[in-house]
Amino acid sequence: MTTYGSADVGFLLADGYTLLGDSTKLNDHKEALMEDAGVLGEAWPGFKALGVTKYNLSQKGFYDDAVDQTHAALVGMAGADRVLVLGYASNVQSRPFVGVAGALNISYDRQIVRLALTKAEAEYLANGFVEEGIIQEALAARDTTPAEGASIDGGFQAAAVTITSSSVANPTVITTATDHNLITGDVVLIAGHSGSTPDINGPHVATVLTPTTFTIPVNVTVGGTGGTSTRISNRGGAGYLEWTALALGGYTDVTVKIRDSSDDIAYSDLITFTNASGTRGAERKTVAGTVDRYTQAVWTFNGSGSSESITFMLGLVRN
Amino acid sequence: MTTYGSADVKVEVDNDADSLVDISAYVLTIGGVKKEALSEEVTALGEAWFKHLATGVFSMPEIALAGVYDDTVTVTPYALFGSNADLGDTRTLKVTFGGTKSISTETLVKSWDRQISKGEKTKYETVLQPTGTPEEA
Repeated sequence: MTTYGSADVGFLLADGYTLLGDSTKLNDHKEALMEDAGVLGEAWPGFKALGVTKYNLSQKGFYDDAVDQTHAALVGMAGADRVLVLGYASNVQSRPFVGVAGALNISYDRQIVRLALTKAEAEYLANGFVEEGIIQEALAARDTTPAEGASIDGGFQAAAVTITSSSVANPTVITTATDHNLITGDVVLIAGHSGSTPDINGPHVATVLTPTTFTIPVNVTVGGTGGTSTRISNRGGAGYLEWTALALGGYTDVTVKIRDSSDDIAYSDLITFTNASGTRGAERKTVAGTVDRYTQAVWTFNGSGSSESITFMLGLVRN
Repeated sequence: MTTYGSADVKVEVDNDADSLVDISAYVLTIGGVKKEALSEEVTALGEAWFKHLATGVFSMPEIALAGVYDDTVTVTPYALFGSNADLGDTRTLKVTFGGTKSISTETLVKSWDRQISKGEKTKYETVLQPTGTPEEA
């Protein structure tokens, strides 16, 4: 059981402003629109989902006009798109976070009540989709050394599905015990499957037939049983960078990247963010194709200087 | 008289494999399991008392399940309702009140909330919209 409390909230950042210090209540809400589809002659009408969802995040807390706090973040920004991230499960690498690319700050409400501290409420609507990912680098101050973070084993995005059998066919048909949730073109890793000729354990591109069957391009002459099939992340993803403080110390700017690797040895650049040079900021950047199992952050202060420091958080979403 | 309390209740929802899973341990509140017969007010001239007629059409309002947020990826509400792909998806909801009486209805996952409040455990709330005819057993 993995539960969290209010003390576990790690960060709430919008365009590099930290909004957590004044918050007492947060509610992130997503909803599927649906319509009553009942017709004449039906005693119990049915509903249908429209295939459209909406998201909003509401924030309540104390009014705070200190530099870089809630008031500074919200006072002039009503109606503007923001990059917003919420770390609801601790500010720790590999923990989950919510990312919103186009968080439209639609309201900022200051509430004055007799005999009480002045309160503030804000609401954000997602101008687009909301994503759930993992924290690649927790929000913290960093300088040139070290210039790379610890690697994360992202494992495989989807849970393993039990294989019932592989058929004698070309291509062989893999039957799973439960819905495999694949789409044609997904890459799956088969492990622990036994008895087939040839051995089909390893990565393969899947072609979906039904919710519980798919083919892989292998000519199987003796069928096998058992094992698992796990989808490898190959539908791309997105990276979220939020920096809340930057002291260049004479350097020109900072380059932050996420790199990936299939073996945790040889890494290549996956996402390169626009160089950071302002006091604070945020960016979401997408990537297509395969996101390898292991990921790592690297950051470089460009130029020369001294006493440099950047405080940032990095998140990765796998589709 | 045979009455029941919260200790007798079982809440089940079907997963992607169409198997009912017991999520009672993750539900603190269930927002009423209500059936309504729609009626129309037909009070005519000369009548002192309101009059209604049943239309022959029935409905079940939304049902909200709420509890402590748990992102263990197995049988928790997070696993059943929490991903973007779950929104708008169908789920069979079965509530057994105690003894042998139960109600089962097809629902659509309408919304998923994470609620964070100072001094409290993070909570979830999911709203299910019943659709079609419920089954009473």
